[in-house]
Amino acid sequence: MSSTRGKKITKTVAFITLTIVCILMLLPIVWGVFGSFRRSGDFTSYPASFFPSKWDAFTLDGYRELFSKTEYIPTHSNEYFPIWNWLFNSLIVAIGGTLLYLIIASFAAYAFAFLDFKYHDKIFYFLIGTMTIPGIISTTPQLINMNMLGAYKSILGLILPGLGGVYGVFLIKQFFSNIPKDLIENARMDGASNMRIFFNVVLPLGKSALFVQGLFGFMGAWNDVQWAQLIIGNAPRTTWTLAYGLKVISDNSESYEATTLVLASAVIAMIPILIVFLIAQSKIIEGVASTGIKR
Amino acid sequence: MINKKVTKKEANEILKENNNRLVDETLTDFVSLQNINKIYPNGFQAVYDFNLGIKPREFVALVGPSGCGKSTTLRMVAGLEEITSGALFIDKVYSNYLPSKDRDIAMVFQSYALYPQLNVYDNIAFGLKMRRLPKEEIKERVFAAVKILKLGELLDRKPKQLSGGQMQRVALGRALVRNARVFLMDEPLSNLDAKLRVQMRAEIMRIHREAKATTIYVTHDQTEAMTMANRIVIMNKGFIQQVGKPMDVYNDPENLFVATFIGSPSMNVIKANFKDGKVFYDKYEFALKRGFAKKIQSFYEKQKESLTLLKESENLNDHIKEIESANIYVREQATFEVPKKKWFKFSFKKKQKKEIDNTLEQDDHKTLEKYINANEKMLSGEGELYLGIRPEYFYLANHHNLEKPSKKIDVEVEMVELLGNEFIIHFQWFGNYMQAKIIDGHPISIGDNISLVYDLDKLHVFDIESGLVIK
Repeated sequence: MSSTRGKKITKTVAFITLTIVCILMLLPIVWGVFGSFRRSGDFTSYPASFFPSKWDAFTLDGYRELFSKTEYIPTHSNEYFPIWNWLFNSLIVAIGGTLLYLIIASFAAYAFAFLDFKYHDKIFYFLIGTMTIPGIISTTPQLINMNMLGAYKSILGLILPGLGGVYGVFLIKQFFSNIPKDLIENARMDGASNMRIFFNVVLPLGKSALFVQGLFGFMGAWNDVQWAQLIIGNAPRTTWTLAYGLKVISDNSESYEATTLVLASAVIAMIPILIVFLIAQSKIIEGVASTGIKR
Repeated sequence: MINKKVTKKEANEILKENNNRLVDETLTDFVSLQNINKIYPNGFQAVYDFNLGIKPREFVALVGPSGCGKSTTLRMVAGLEEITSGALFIDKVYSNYLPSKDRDIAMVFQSYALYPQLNVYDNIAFGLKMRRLPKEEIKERVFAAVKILKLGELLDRKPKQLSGGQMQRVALGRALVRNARVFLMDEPLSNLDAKLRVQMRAEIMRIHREAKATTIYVTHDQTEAMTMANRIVIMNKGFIQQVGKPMDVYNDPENLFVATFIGSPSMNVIKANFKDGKVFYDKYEFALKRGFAKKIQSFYEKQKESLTLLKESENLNDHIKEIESANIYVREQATFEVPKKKWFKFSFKKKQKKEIDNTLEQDDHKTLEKYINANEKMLSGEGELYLGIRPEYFYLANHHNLEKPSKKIDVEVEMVELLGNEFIIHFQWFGNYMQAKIIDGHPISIGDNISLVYDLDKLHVFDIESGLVIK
């Protein structure tokens, strides 16, 4: 009796705590989403309010402005927002880069998990060891590398450095290692080549790891501003990515005048991530199925 | 050419020259394992000098306790494990370096290794698809296998939706459709419950007959091996202990290990004293067959020769291990201990390897010395022997029709297991825990005092150090 009551209390406390944390996390987002529909002047009078103070204060100007400045006008070169280009570039970088990386990382993970080559564990530990090096240290060499490869000032420079990432290999390898060896050996005895084992046996079973890594990779690439600034900051505005473009917009609009615009751009940037997350999340749950092996 | 030592690369070159096949036409065995050793990269030797010839359509069971090297041997035949030294021939073809897929073998794994994402049909067809057979033929073969295994209504189910027995049958089906000439089975029944296991045993034997295949079957369950196989290979600690027909292995075990491992309940073993040609325990003298004392004498004379030869042997350690592996089989017992939490674990580097080797060698020589001394003692007419008698050969003293019954043994029943028409009686005899299996209608209960006799013809005598049978 007392234990069930204790359980109930624990559950309630946990529920309340989680609710509070959720609200705290969601508040800025909700404020931002609503704020993107408020006139700039409204913020000065009621900064803490969520909703427009009166019907007049409701506006779509932020979105209108964002999508209206897609033409290049030499006199207003600072207000040139080719947002469709940015969206396209961002999609190329995020989706293309992620897919490329998934191919490379899953092949590498397969090799580390199932192939018996010389020093494979030592090489793997070495790769894991490189994760301890802070990313900031490799920034300058990477920049020089990209310049030498001719990828400076192009979105290729945003994709290439990510392809050498170790974390994804590690994550996927750990997942692959949980696939029973018997399955691989059985396929090998059936005459399947490594390629066929990979596509017919390992991939269907390990796809949830790929979804997880894909989700992380996509979010990382989509939200990346720092590296983008270094690579494409000096490039023509048409080669910018959405995240960087929006950062420039918010940097240029420190006055309250443009708050609506900034918030609108933030909402725009958020939508694809939201969609990807919703899709991937359901897939991850779907992928975590029983392995069909009796142990 | 085959017995020459070559590297993997050279071997591949030789293979290429011979059209990927090295054939030994003189072999009559279908699967032939010759002097096979397996040493893992970490230095552990799992299989020592394994020699076995398997005839076509034979059902051979490799049996032994866990870690005895039986699975390793099977995996070497399958090509999943590299062979350290020795030669493997499958259908007269030298197969040491042949990829598994070219060995014409099919394997059933203990875990069944079904692909969870595929349904039963696709699971069975997987191997054929990998071999790029025409679709029609795949269908035909799968349906033929399904018919044999009675899997008809399950074809579109996923492994998750199957019971253990059904998964097992699918795994068998996958091996069956391959039309392979050798079936390898690695403890295929150990995940099933007892009743199903008996059923599947019959099924596997039927499949073996119908598929006209040669089967190598690995199990740790001696009953399974006894009931299914034409021939049993008993292994322990990497050494073959005995190869033979189930009945021969049961009746004439070559050493203590085989004697105690085969048979259920296992053989009663007593350490008895030997003096001047007589064997006795405490005050009880064991009646031996006529002329047995002479046999003991000649056994130890022979053994003396072989032991002295060992002195000069280069791999004395292996021989000692072989002798040790022939000893009594003791079921591993759990030790009870409160687990200690370790916050820090210090490890020191091992001593120089050479030093260790030296001490090991000295130890081996000491052990050998011990064996020789024991041998000498026996030759001088005094020493100890192991005596073995199976529980099945005990009878109630007033209820037997033995030609040569032993003297009566009066014991008190400590425990009775009722198995329908027979009893297993646990009792102590001069401090030895023993069991007797008695087929008799009249009830026996705990605390009863009974008199037992045993069949003198069925008494086994073993050397105490080497565990070898004296006969």
